[in-house]
Amino acid sequence: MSMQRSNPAIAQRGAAALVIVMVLFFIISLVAAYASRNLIFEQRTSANNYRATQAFDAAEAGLEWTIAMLNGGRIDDTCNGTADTTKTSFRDRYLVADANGVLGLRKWVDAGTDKNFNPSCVRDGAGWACSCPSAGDPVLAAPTGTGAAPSFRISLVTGVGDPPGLVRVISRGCTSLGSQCFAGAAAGADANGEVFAMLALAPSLMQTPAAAITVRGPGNFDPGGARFVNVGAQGVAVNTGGPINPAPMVSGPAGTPTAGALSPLIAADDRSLSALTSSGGLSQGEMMFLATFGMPPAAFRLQPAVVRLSCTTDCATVLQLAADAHPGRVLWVEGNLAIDGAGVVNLGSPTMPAILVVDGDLDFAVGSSVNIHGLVYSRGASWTAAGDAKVTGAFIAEGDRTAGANEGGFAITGAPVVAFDDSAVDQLEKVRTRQVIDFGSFVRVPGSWRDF
Amino acid sequence: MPLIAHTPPIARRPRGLSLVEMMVGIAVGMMVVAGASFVAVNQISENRQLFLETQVQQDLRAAANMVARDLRRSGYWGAAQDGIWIGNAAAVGANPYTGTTPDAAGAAVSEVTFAYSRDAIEDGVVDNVEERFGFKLDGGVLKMRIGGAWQALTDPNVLEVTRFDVEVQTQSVQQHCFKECAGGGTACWPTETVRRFTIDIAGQAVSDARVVRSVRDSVRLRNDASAGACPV
Repeated sequence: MSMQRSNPAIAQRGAAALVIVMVLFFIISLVAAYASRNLIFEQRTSANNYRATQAFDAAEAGLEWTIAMLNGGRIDDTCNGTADTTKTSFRDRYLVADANGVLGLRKWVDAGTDKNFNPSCVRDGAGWACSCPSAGDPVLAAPTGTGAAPSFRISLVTGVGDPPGLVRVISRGCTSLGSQCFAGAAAGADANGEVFAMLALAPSLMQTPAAAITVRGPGNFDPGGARFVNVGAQGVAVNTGGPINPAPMVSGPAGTPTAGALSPLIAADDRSLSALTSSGGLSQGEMMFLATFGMPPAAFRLQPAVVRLSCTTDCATVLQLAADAHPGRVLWVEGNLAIDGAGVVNLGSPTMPAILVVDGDLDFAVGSSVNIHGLVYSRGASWTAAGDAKVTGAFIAEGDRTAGANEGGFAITGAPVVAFDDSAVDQLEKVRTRQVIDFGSFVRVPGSWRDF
Repeated sequence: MPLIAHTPPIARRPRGLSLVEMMVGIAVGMMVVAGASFVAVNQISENRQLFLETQVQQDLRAAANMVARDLRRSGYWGAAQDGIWIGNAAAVGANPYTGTTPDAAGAAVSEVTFAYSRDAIEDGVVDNVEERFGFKLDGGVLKMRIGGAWQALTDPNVLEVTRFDVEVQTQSVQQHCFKECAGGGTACWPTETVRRFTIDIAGQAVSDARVVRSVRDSVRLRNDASAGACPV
């Protein structure tokens, strides 16, 4: 009996402790569950934040991408650079300028309806896959790579009454290749964001040249060979800020005297060239650059739409390739431009001028053949044209590298021909007035960005 | 012979628990209960602490995000194309929305104001009610200027904002003009200024001053400030 009495007593005591412990642990688990509810909420908040940020940053990336593409060269349908001259640049593919330089959009025709282009990209694995169609909707494959795959879609907009060279960009970013960013997608992306900005075409040329050759200081041209032609109704053949010695060989419309100082084709000792006033710490040569291109050389060469080249050997190939891949872009040669004996260079055409800036001397070897339509600007001291060289358009020398008695001067040896031609100058005039959408850089207009 | 022999009675051993056994049992039980309740109390208070920390952190982060996102829009001008210099055009429009306070590097301040356009059709006038925005610290509460009034952005019952520091860094690029300014120098030349704001917010829980959290965010204003013009 006492055993029956005493055993339950032990059991009850143990059970009480057990029950109390269990109740306490139950309370703890309730509290833990409550806390993890907060955790879930927190997790959702941060996931939302993550998606919103990703979509927004994709949209921002789209905007930057558009600026870069507008300032780039020829591209294929996947937006990659190409030297294939049958392809157009992003700028020429989607924009067109009217006679006042006001931009319009190119369209594609879908069953009789004009449609706008929407170049788009999606991130796939380590890089972006893009589509820049020449006609039709963008073509993008669903990303197969691992990791996040945000995408963006670009819409270009122009408006009535816009100033010349203005285009609006709407970039929509998505967290995945969703239907908000890509019409071909079946499902929507979790989040999307839009940013808007205006881009403007900065002018690339501030004044159209008025002579076949313009030199800031004295001119020293090979009397046996260098010829300067101006058959047009305006301007002169040779314009220098200093004396010209010996007298250059010039030719003009029939009946124009070509002899020395009597010739109306020669304007030597031009005070407007030799007496350039320095400002803001620029040298006189740099002031001439500023007057021609609208910015100092140090800033000009860093522009997005300027193609910088550097070559010590085989410059002809490098230059030709760069020109083919970047139609309508300013080519900037770092240092001297040396074309070797077998070099053949053809830049520009009668309908599309080239602008070539050489940050040094020009040296064309015997046997080379160089034919340029457009504007050549040299920052060096001399041009040695032992081969066949012709510039149809204008040549400008700022003479920044010559000092002393010859300060600002430029020397030409060999037999180059510089022909100042009305049509070439008209083309450059169109560049200056932005009737062609080439040469300048597209830049963001301050105050135009919004995300609402 | 009786089959069952009566075994002689032997001394019966006491049954049940001894007092010592019972005391030990109770003591062990009490120790288990004490340990369990200690764990429970600890757990609950840590949970509460975690909850408070999360809440404070979340509130601060949301506030910083709000400040950064709104500040980023500063200087939006519906007619930004009027600010482009077009060759022969005489005057270039100035962006009326571009100013901010603070607008130059200096000591951190606890109030920032700015403006951006909300006009459907740009009227070029900064509307005091609709288009001026700002954030400031006012008595432990972060306030946002919206609709012309300062409204609380954080909950004063939960979070006490102890610090709201705004600093600005600027970097200017100057356009080179052909002529120097009247009277010499280059001060009047057009400049474009890139502005970056750093926001530093710290706060503590109202119910527990030990819960202190801070958030730091930095935002580059997308609309750069431009000023000046080339002398003609």
